[in-house]
Amino acid sequence: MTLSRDLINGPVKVVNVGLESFAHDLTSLGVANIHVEWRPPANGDPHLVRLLALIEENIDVINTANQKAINRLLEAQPKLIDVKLAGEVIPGFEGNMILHSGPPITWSKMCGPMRGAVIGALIYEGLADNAEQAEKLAASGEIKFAPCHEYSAVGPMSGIISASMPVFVVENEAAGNRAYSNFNEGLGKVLRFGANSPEIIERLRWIRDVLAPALRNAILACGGVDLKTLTAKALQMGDECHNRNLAATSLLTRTLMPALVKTCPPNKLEEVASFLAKNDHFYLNISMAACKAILDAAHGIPGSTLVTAMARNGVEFGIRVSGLGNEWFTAPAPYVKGLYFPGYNDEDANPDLGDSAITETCGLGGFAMAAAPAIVQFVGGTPQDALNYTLEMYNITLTSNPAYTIPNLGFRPTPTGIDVLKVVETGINPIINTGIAHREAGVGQIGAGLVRAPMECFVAALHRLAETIS
Amino acid sequence: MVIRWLIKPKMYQDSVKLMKLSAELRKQDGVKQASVIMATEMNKSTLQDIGMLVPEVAAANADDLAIIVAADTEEQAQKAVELAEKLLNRAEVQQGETKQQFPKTLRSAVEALPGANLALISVPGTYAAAEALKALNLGLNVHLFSDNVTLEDEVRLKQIGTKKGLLVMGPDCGTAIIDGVPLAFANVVARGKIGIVGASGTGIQEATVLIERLGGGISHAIGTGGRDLLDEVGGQMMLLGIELLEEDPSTEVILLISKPAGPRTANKILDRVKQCKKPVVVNLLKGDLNTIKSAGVVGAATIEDAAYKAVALANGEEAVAIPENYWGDYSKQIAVLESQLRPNQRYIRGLFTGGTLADEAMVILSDIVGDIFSNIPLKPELKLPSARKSHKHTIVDLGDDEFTRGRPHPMIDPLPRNERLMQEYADPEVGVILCDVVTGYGSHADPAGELARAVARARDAYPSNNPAVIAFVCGTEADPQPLSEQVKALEKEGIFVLPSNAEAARAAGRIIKLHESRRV
Amino acid sequence: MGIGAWGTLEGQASTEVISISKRSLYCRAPAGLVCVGSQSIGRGPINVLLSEHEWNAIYNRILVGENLVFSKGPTSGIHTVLLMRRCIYAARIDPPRDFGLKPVSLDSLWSLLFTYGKGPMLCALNGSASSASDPFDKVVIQRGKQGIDLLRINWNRDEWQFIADVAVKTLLGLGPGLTPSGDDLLVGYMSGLDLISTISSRAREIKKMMQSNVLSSLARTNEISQTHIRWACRGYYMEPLTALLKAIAGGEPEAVGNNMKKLLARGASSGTDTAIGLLLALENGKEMQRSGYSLAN
Repeated sequence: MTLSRDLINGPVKVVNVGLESFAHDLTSLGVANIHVEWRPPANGDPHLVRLLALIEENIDVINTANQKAINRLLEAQPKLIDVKLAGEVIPGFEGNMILHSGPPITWSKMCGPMRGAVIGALIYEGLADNAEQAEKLAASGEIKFAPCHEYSAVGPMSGIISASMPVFVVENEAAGNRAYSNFNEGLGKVLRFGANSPEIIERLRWIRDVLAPALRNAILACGGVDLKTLTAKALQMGDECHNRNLAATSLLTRTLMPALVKTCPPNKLEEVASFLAKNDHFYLNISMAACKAILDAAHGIPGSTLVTAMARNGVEFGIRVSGLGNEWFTAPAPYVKGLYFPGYNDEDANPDLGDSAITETCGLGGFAMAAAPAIVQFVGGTPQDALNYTLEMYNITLTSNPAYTIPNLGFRPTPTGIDVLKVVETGINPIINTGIAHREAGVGQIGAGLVRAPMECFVAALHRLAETIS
Repeated sequence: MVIRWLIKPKMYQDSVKLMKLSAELRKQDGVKQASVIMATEMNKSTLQDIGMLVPEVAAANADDLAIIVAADTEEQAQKAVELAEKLLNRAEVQQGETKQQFPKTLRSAVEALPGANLALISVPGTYAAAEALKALNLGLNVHLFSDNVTLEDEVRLKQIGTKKGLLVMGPDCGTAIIDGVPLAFANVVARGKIGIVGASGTGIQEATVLIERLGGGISHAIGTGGRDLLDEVGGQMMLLGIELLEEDPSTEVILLISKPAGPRTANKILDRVKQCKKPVVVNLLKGDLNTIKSAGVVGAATIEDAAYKAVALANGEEAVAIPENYWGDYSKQIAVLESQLRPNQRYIRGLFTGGTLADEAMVILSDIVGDIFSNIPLKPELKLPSARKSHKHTIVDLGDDEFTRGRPHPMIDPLPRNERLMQEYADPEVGVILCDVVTGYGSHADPAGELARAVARARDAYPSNNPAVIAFVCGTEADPQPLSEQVKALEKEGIFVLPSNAEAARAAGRIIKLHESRRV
Repeated sequence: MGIGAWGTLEGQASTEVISISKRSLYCRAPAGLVCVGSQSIGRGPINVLLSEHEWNAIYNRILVGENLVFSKGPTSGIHTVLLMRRCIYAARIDPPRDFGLKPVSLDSLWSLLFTYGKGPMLCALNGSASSASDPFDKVVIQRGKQGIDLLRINWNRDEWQFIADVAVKTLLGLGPGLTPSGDDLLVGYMSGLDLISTISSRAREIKKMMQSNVLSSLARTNEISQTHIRWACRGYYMEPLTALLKAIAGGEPEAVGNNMKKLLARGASSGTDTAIGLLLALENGKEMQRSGYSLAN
């Protein structure tokens, strides 16, 4: 009764769904209104429409759960606190274990770059002397493969993490949970794209023996690095912290440098500093770990439709949802649409790969593209496209994150927290900024572009959701 | 006269834009002639014929855009050319601007418009209930314009609405006026003391318009949708509407516009009305007024009657029936129109876009001329075998589902009635054609003009048949289509315009009666 | 995409955009013009249709001065429009042998034309030149009337080719619009000839003569219009017209009405202009039938 009385007492404020002329009429009368660019939900699929209607009946439960999830997400305080070897620090990590990106996959089904990286990791670990031995070992069943995501970890591209690789340790100080990510080796021939030649293994050893200890000491000496503030600053400087990390890498280097000059052995300082100076994407892996730490805190809330992970293993694209436990909802990994480096084209590309879409899941990357107009040089399109992508994503997120704002949109908070229901209802697939890997091992990155998360994943999750509710 | 020109080499613009541009230029002060053309041989020689081919344009070729302006003074011509340049360039800049992004779902819309309190929903029926439910869950009142919503969904939505204290106006609710804001198909009427709850969209429109013409005004007009009074729905929104108006300080008299109701619901509503602290007028077209009277409530048989009584009550007077010839004495006009009919022109054909207006005309006419056939008849035996073909006295509701499935309502798209009008004109037995013209927000931009042109075309096509055309304009001066202009357009074509739908129906009946009496 | 566009665009053809409006653009490839637009422009021989999303993206890029690159795959980038063979639009009219104009009432088409039509050629048709206030429009209407009258009555005269040449020279490039009204009328006339060519060898002759007349005078109009006319000479038309022709050929009154309305709604007046040409040809066809010119001899 009170609500209808509020209406009668005015002023009337109208949400117009349907004929646009009604909204024009109201505007001409000076009545506050907003027009919804309505399309049939779920592109008019009658089965999904019914499913959405069924879920709408229980929307109160879902809203409450989502509010809780959003609170955890927004309250999170990711901090870079340490660098350690994966085998020492990741809970449950076993010696013969290799973590990979995306949803679970067996050796026999892995794509080229991931196989190459596994071979490299086995050689690096000293478990094999050469590629043939490594392949045999990988196929033998003695190696335990598992998704990074199931061990609080994330890795870009093939995402291979083995026991003696150093990892960044990021702690969410609000909830106390931790997340891990491996080191970024730079561009070109690198392990994450499947390269495994001796100089690659040599670089990994240098990272473990020189870079990792130097950074660890610097991080500890600084008392850790607040990643929420660093990411926020980087967004204001034109990064979206997935495909552009120029500003964030510089900020991180600047933050660590005073400590680094004290803690790093003088004869190694130049090597370490120039490695950081040459790698524009060094921050990417840290950005990903920060996002993982934030989203894990929001995971596991019954009834919540918040997406807590989007990840690809080069064969399948998978998502996880807060209220649906550890289940993956998968679909074939799509191909990235984008620009190729000279000499490469569609035929060379591997399907979408890597855990880096955790940034979009957390409201960065493609979702924050408006903050990074320069990215369009890399992925194609105009600065206007960059704005439009971000604006579009507000339609599928549960909230926006006041910690991360976009200067180009009048410091509007970034769209954050993908909602399975909204994705299916609007038919808008989340947009992801990403690199394109060559489908053969070891060639490396051959381009960059945009990819949309496949709708099938969200539809599968919706079905499960409907089951759990009814 | 001074000629000025502008040549844009190799500039291609689409024709619609070129046409708009030339129309704009021709409106400028002192401009006598303006052409925006591709400089083809033929167009250049055309310019030569009218003495406007300047050497520069003559030298241009078929791929060049030429703008040629002739005006009284040098300054005016120059100004027009500058405007042309500006308009051409402005269009380019406009296209580069950020395209407006509308929210794609109700939920995101509510986030973008804090304090939103009403969802106006007009999506296709299959999706409408789902959107309405979302709106209710977001705490919004609902105006459900969409039709083709199942009765089951309607019951459920209204139960949820009642539980949450939210209005669910509809489905198939064509109009509402809340706090002075006309929603969907509504007229701009004076504000005042009379609050309406109505099950019929056009009924509400007619009532609000007549109340204004009778010197009254509207506080709110709440639509309920046509099925609210069925026993399945139980009049939930009629009851909520009465309650809201009873509490609303700006409302002093309540007018209920009913549709045929389920027996239980009718009793429930009457019981509620009897307890109402404010005077209530109940209109029940096609219904039995005795039950209303016996309940001690003011009843009204037509919308005109209801509007009259409501205004009387609002003025503190007694609610009596509208006096005869209240609007004026039209005997003379009726006699003139009748005198033009041939002896066998003896039938009335009513072509209505508003269902309740058609109902009201049938109620009135059947008292005067007897049986009226229709697609929405008063009695089942008077149902037309085919709604597309008239029989004897016929009144059709062109807004009925049968006509509107898959196409716009005739209030928006005048074509169906234009075609039907031609058909009736062709019938040598037709003596009177009776029409409604509904203006206001949502309606066609110039419904009277459309009707007038259709009449002119029909008259040209069948000059030997000359039936009287009678119309009522359901509209106000403040509507986007001002009443005076609409009436003028009709009268220019010899259409007899009357101030109320009931009066128009009575005039039609009187012409036919008079004609009958003279034939005998 | 249209068959003409497919033929024009070579692998990785880079093109120059010569005109852009909200819904479509014309661009020039080495082998000719193509029209690129959103689905709303309808299919046509030189049209390349994109999804709303693709169109918006391309539109934004064109506005900042980029040119379009087309590719027949498999390679594409975000700057490249990928063309697909399976979507080629190559509808031509193939009326049944026994087509006799009977199932469809020409009167109803005329009545739709007068109800929904607009523009100078319509004025020319119903002789209301006097109603035009603008002197330029007045002359356009007078000339349009001359052209129409020539096409209307002279079809069985031996010197038809000569007469038609005068009509073509009168109409080609006449009137306002990106494709001048007279051009559209001629396209419509040719489409009507296609339709009746199965019932009369005379219609086939006329179409051939018309083609040669039109092609020899093409320089009288602009590049965009020329492209449309060339395709019309070969029997390919844009979608609303093709659909209407098919409906007439198939004798489906409802589809005829709907597509006629769609055609009439096109452009500022080009739909009307085209429809007038078509109806003139069909009237000719009716005459031919009546005077025994019927059927293939």
